[in-house]
Amino acid sequence: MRSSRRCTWVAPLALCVGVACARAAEPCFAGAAISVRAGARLASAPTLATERLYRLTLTAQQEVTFAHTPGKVALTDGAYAGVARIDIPSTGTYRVAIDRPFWIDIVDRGKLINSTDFTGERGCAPHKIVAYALAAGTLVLQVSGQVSPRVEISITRAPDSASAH
Amino acid sequence: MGHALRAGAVALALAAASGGGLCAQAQATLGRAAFPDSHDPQTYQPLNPSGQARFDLGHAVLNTQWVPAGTAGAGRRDGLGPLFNADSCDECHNEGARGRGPARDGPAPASIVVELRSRGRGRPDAPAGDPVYGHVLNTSALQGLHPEGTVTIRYRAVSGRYPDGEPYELRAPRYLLANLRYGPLAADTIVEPRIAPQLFGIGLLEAVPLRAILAPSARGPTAGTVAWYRYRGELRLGRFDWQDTAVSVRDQTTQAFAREMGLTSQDLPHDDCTRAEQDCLAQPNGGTPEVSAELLDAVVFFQSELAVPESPRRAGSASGPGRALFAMLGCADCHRPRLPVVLNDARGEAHSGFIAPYTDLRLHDLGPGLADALASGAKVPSRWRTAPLWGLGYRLARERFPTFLHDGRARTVEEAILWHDGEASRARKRFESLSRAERQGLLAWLATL
Repeated sequence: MRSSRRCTWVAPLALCVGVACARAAEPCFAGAAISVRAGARLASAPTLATERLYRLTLTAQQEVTFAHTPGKVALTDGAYAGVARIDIPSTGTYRVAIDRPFWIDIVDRGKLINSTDFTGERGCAPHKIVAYALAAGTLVLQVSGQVSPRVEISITRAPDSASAH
Repeated sequence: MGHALRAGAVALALAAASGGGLCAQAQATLGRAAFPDSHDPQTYQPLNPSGQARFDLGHAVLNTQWVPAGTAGAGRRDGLGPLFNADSCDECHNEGARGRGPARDGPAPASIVVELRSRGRGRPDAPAGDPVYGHVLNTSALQGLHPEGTVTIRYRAVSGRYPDGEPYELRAPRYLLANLRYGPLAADTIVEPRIAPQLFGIGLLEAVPLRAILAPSARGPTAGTVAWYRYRGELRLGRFDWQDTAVSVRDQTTQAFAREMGLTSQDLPHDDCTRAEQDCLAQPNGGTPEVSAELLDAVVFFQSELAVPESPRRAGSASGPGRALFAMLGCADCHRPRLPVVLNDARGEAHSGFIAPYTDLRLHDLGPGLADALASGAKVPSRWRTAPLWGLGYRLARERFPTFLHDGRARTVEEAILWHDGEASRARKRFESLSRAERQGLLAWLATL
């Protein structure tokens, strides 16, 4: 199902919710997802836009060639993974939200970008939100480590109040 | 004691420190390493290639997200639950660090578990959990099952004032257990909220000889006590977790696997499902045991070799009165700056050395403010292992919302000090009597540990 609807912030919200499901904190998760097959390598990676919800179809992790080795070392028996490019329109803090506990990496010119914060709540959608300070341009997004062949994911620019943490 | 210690008193303390116990601390101690990348934890000693491979496998096991029994293709990592609190060690001990504490009122984060201990059942050397809920209240469950309950924290502000007039505010927690799947807890069950402790350096704490922990102390009322547990047929000294309830790194690990993740091991072949939880018992398992001997061995080895991260504030900031104040106030009586260790190197040869963990590994009564409570709400006397302070500087530099003490109620080191009572009441009162500058000096020094 495709949707051209962009997600917009209703109100600023602190990243570290920790109080209840953060669904309301991630506006994209309230809408319909765009189905996309993630790449098994960079050459076949789709390009994702910010402020939209995607449902990525993944590939068995042992068949995926990453742009960078995943930043978290873990047993990957039965895991799925995928690679995508992301267009970051302007420099700032962005939140990557996913509905399952995949490991997320963002790679910029061959280097992993460290996250600046994260939060999570089992049983909620999104399950996890990770914040990054990103420069404008095209970066690489990698998800890995979980046994599900699909993941819903959004990349949204954090409201000023959240980036001021 | 006056409101502030005089400058002369500080000078005296410095002199005493330089001629006494703390001087030895200046000598090289073992166990520290720089952690420039938190995803690349360091060992405290070089490993040979097979040791490094074992360490790396253990690191992978620590980070692994376990999945339900029978998950297609899950291989070595199925068996999660059916009841659990976290699906990976890393969820609470992020790359070996202490768990994140609660920022505010609300549901307890996954890194805080509510342990349950029966006051009337079991033996001192073999404690029993709640007869229905077991040793830990599991707040998550596999699809189709219900968690045992929910935990919500509500804080109450407790205002105070230093003798010099400066105000402070602590937050006193109340734990609300709700949605209890099998009815109320037993009246004599002690509710024990516990945040995941850091794993850094625990192999070194295991290497402290018994005699150093049991040594007769001239400290009188702050001497504390120890606890012994029946472990694999032997009586062993407890030295891990918040109340010395685990006797070894392996014991602590298998307890967490079984009780907080629902993963069995050769040491603990049953998880935390009790006979009252038939729906839990009826679920398939992920193998017998669910954590293989190889993976258990590796994750224990990983923790045992894990170094303590150096503080980025260490260089150039260790001078000043903080260290002397720490000794003068009496903090170092329990937060001992130096303990001996006997370690095996990569060739299996034993070496003696010293570590600077700032603990005595003994149990102390810290007063009713920190004490646990029965399910009925009545407080019970509680004894706490002196929390090791090493790694504090790394935490303070790395964490956005660091919290302290066994349940993360303290938002600063200063708040943690102000919660000290009971055996530590004299030390706390001395801290309160310092001038503001002296208090800040002590706190600045603590950030170098």
